[in-house]
Amino acid sequence: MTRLTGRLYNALIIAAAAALSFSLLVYVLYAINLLGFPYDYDQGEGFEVHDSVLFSRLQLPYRDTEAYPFYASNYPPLFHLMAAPFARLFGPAYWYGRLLGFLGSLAAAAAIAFAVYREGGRRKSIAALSGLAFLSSNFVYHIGPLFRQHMMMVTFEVLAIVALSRSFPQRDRRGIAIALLLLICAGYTKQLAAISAVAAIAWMLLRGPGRALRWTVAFGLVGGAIFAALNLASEGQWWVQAIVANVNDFNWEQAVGLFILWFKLHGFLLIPTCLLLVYETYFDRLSVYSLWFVAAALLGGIASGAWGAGDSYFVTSVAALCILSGLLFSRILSGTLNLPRQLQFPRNSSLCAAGIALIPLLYLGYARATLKTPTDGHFTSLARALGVEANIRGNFYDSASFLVGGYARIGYFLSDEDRRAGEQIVALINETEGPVLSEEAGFTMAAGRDVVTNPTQLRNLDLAGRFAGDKLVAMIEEQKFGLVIFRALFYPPAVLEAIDRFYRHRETIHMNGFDYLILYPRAVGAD
Amino acid sequence: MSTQTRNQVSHAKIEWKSVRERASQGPPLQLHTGMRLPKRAAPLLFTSLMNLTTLRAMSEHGEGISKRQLGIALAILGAVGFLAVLSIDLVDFGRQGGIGPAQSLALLLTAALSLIGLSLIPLGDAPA
Repeated sequence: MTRLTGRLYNALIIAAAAALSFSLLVYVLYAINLLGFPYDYDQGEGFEVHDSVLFSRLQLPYRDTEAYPFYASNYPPLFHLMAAPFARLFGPAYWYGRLLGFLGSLAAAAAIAFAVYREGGRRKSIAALSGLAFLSSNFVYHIGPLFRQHMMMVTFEVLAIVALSRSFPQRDRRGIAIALLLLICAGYTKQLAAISAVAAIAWMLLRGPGRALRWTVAFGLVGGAIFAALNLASEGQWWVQAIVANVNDFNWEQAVGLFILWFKLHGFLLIPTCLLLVYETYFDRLSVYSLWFVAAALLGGIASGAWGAGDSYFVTSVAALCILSGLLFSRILSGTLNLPRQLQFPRNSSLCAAGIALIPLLYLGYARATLKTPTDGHFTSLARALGVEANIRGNFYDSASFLVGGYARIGYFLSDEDRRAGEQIVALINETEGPVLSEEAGFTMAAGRDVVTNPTQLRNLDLAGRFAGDKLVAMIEEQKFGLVIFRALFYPPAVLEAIDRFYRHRETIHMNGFDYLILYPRAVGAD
Repeated sequence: MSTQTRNQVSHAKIEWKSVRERASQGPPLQLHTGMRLPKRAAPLLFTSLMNLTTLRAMSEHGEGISKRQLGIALAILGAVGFLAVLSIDLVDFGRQGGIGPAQSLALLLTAALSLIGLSLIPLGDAPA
């Protein structure tokens, strides 16, 4: 590298770091904004709070949904177990789960940077940019600071794969055991981690089939033992709620739309990733990251078309692509790519200089492609300078916009109006007697009432033919619920029909971009 | 026996001889799984297996699978997968309509897998 190209390269690296740091700043502000919000931001968060509360009382959330309170969870327990001590100390609240998710995303980014640093020739700048690139992804931004188990699953996956990458070739038994235990942790945080487990096992089989088989048997035994214990402890409800009820309808348009969006947002790093993948396939050994990326992108991407799935299903592939692109750039800079003679023309000095300058430019392009920023308050002039206008709620710019089905319609900052709207709904609950049927648990928990039903779970069970709902419908017909709160009408058709017959929509409260319908019992004999 | 088959058998004998020579020179030849090579295995069968799975590569490069082995495995997997997906329509278990979007994607993926596998076979004993 000449002095001029060196200076240009350094200047561009600083610019790329600044652009990605801006993304990090917005992410931190978004997390802080969410930590103080005491209701659901993403539909279903409240039920995860409730799962943590149940675990803190040493109760399992895998229950019979035919009996009051008709509640069950379909998620594995680990994330809620992690939040359970906080639930014990602070009662039901959102902040600690959101904080865990946010810290998990930072840990995953640190692990990505560490992997690139360790395996890419100790290049600090590329390692740091790789970690920042992960946090800059729109998909990571969405899911990171939520009370949801997905980001924690990704964190465990990243830690496991990074640990396995070094320990398996070195025959480091303790390292392999830790990596596989982390994979089990990922699987018992969310079922989707099965994809990473498949990739890890396939890679071990490539590198050492005999050892891989032995480790896979041990892995299966430990994972299976936990599964059996959960099933026994819940009297079979774990199987029904977490496995049987987890099969959903599939929407091709959603999956294809998300694949296209994934490419549009991450294309600047996706293309280098694919180049390294081809290089490893034909000229080097396949790394665990490559197999992980292929499995996560293909299988995770296809799974994103399922009902209830979305852009978060690509987060694992984003982690893998951040590592792989960082490794490619590091190896280009270190000159450690062993290309065959016919392909060594890129070693021409001017091509090399252009190639080196291209690396930070790709990160700059990526930062622009994944740009998200508030457009009001302190950010007004910056948004104007960047040439972006609000495309979400009139005060937020998201480069992905909200056009693709399955892309989470969140990411904007919450206002005092949203808080007041939540308080208003809680006040309405406090005015009523008896239990309340709410599509979000946050309001009933804030009012100190029972959490009754998990609508998406009842819907899934109903579709699987595992929900009769007679007792719930009877309670609705007897108008035992003081209030019904709808947001998305996720309940099974029989429940919705009963509510329509015996309850009447009287009020709509707008909170967090959604309309909450408040229904009261109809007067007896009235139409 | 045709000339081609005879050539294959003689080639197999040469391969088997070289394996035995190497085995006698050093410590007992071991597979990656820790299994010992059978001393009196039928040469033809054994050498055919050797050629198919290139176990030689594994003994020379330590444990792990070669590009050729991976290529053969992917090509077979892709071809079997392709036929299996296609057979859904041929057998037609009461299904209606032609090849749907899921089937098209599966056919595309399995065909791509096969092609990638075939392209890896010429890379020989290089570790995958």
